[in-house]
Amino acid sequence: MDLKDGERRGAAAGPGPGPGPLSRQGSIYSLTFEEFQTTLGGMGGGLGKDFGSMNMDELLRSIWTAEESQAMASASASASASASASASAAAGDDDAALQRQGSLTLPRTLSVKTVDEVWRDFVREAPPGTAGAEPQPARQPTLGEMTLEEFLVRAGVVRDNPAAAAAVAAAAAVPAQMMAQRPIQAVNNGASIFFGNFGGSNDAGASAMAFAPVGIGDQAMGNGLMPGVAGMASAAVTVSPVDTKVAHLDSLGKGNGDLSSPMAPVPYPFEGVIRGRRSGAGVEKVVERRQRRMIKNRESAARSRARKQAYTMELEAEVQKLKEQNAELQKKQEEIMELQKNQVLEVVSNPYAQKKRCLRRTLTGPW
Amino acid sequence: MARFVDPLVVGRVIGEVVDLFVPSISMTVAYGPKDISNGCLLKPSATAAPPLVRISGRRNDLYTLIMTDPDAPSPSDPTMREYLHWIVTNIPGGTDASKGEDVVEYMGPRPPVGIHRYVMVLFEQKTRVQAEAPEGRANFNTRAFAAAHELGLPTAVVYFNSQKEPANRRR
Repeated sequence: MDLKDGERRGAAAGPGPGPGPLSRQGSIYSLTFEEFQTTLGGMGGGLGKDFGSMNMDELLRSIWTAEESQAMASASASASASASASASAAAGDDDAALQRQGSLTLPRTLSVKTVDEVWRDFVREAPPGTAGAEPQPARQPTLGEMTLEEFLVRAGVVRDNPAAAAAVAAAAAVPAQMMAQRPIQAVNNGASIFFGNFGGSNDAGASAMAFAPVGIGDQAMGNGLMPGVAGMASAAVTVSPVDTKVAHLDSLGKGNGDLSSPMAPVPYPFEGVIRGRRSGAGVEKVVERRQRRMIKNRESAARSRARKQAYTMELEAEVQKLKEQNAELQKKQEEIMELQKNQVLEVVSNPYAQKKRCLRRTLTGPW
Repeated sequence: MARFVDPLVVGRVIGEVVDLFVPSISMTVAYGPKDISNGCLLKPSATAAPPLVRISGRRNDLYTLIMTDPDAPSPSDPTMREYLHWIVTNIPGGTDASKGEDVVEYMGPRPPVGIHRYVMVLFEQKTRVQAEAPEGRANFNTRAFAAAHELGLPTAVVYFNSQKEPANRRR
């Protein structure tokens, strides 16, 4: 199972170099497909088929399995891992790489495609002529030589993630690349989380953080710097200290948002910002502004309800009062009518009573 | 008109402008031919001229009328609360506000943002009042004014809402 895939896919691809030197092992994302396959084999990952025939869903699952086991190993060697991360970051950027957290998810259209199909799409999308736009066109002639990270990014599995960026305000200096922090769909393993990594940073503070013991440092950053966001995302995302140090993703940076499927399901709260590409500090502001707007909106809605209710109450009270008044007036009117009727009846029943009295006087006249 | 205070509580006029009180005087406010009810919505153009404010009460009692906007400049951020629109003092009971003395000239509602409440508060005076106009209309405080002139609790409150009209309807 090991190098077969690479050979089959690309005629030019020679057998991979096997697991790379330490500097390449910061994360499994920086491994090429060939290396990854070898690694899985070495770890006893139980991979039955080669990547080409896997669909994307299966591929992701196998990556997680590998990643978890690798995390165990790297936790002990975290110091050297972070050092190596900065070393490999130098290729794409001039300072340390900083890891971000985020989860991967697959657009529904993508998850059923096999790796082969996705790869073919790449080749079609980026013919050699246009490949000049890519920073490293020569690096990916075959699937076997492509790193997992590049593959996932190009396949549209990962995306800019402003939420994760809020975790690392320091990334302002570089147009940082981040991953979408989206719930993992189509994956049964709900508890597992997948930290995508990313982005180089020139910022001194950021590099300092990158040298912290990775597993712990990562989580601390996440908890400390993105309180609101963590709250919003926590429903779908469980945080576990997995080391996913990956270097220089931003070599691929521009355009991964465009390559990702427009049908990708994006959780509502992040949607607007994910579309707009912003740097880390800006994102924090945006998140804050959005929360403030949300609160204001809620208050305004409450005021509106209160206004309506107050007016309704006023009108109801008015109606009640007018009803009572009306009833009272009607009662009065009835009484008056009754009185009048009695008078009329009296007059009718005894029509001559008054006349007689008047007449009597004249009748009793002297003549 | 005997009014009860529930709409004032729900509309947060009681709480944000005045304290809980028991209405003892009836006050009707009419812009044009129509009396307004608490919480009704009026256009600024319909309220540009001072309303006819009739009050009950005995002839030899004097009353003070104050009109303020607790939602200035915006209901979600009322930094100017309250914005003063009108003060009339020494209104004899059983008459209307035109029989009193204008301390601060009437100014029609001109809400820039959102739906504002315009609250008319009537106080019963203990004696004839010589009130001085505050320096500005913004950040007026009805409670403080009442305390300064020994007006006590209100005897009647009426409020209405107003919102900026679309520009094309103004001309």
